[in-house]
Amino acid sequence: MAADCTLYGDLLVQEALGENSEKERAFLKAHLDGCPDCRSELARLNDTIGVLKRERRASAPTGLAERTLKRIERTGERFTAASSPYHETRLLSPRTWQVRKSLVGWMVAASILVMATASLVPGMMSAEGRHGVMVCQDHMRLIAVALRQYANDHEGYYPQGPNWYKALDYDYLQREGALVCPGRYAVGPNSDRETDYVYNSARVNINNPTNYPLMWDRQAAHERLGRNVLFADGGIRWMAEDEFEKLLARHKINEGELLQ
Amino acid sequence: MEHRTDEELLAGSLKGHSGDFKTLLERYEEELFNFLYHTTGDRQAAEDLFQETFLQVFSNLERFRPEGRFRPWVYTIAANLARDEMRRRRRRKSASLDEEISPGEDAKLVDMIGSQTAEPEAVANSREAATLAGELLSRLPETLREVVTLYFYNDMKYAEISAALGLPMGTVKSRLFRAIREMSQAMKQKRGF
Repeated sequence: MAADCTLYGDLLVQEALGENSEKERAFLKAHLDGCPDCRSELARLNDTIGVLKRERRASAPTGLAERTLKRIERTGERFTAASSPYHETRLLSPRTWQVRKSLVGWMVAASILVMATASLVPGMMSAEGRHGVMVCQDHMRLIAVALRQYANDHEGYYPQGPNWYKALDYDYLQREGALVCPGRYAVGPNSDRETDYVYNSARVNINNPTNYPLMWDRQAAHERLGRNVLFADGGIRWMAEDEFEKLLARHKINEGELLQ
Repeated sequence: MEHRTDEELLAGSLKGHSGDFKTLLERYEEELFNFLYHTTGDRQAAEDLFQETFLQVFSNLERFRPEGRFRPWVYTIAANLARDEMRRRRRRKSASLDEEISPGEDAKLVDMIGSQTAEPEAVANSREAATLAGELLSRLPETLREVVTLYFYNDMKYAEISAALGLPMGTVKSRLFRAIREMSQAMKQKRGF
């Protein structure tokens, strides 16, 4: 197509779609009569659209609506299950879990947490960085809910080992992107793993859940200043890197072992 | 024949009338599945995403504004879920091959043709469409593919697509045109003329 022909680009597509007005068609035809390149282009566009139109509509599998309804009913039951053999930590207490059912309560709690944590993020971090910290905390919160839900369905057991996140399929973690920390893009992915979070599945005998870390950013992703940490009581805090290292040392947590 | 609007059925569902929700499900069963199938190229994924879409609708019923419209809402949820799914598959592929870049929205369709790493496994593994149309669609970025799908397979007009995806009409049109041009270029390379 010659440089002048670029003026006719949209008209060619419109022509192939059958959407040109009479005036536009006449205008285009005058050009096509003297331009073999555009005639070929139009033939290819017609060909492409013909291929697309020959593709059939897909029919839904039989009973899809019925199965969906059943799945919704099952999920509803799971959400309202009163008892849970959950003892190990206070990741999300049964009382907190009830809040999950109340959207307003949930949103209020989230806003308060976000506001509370926002004030702890260092002033030297950029606005974009601070936003990343908050989105990352949101992801951690979703993962925490998914873990709790998983435990509900598995007699109180949480997923174990470095591939814990693979147990949280779509039934549990309904936003897959939640396994990725937005801060990673500033410093680059740190591994070929599908999650940026380290999950402390080896936790035992937790005496002080407020200060016991259950999950954290796998690297100091947030402008290399620090990480978000999810604690056993469900709280999420941003910590400067040196503070975080002291925390792991205090609890004798070996991050390398958790990843093996 | 049910003559009530989507919004009326939704209001009924909010009051606890499960029959209304079922009617809504049945009303969208074909068209939404069709959209999800052509967006993901995978019948099983389309079924899962359909269920997931209505799970989200159900758990967010109370958030629906009385003056709002159901159709754009449900399509927005479905399109977001489909994008997440495709992103997840791309990341899996990216992680497994340790690629620096996986084909994304900015990747040109023609750049992918003939490249060893071009075919997104995300789609290649799942694609049931052995047809040329299926292949062309599968190589488009999701944002373009969903517009093409709604135009050709859900028979929507620009205004309807605009409302369904919450995009300005000009954006819908430019995405459709760009998609058609990219597919046309891909055909040219494939057929050698």
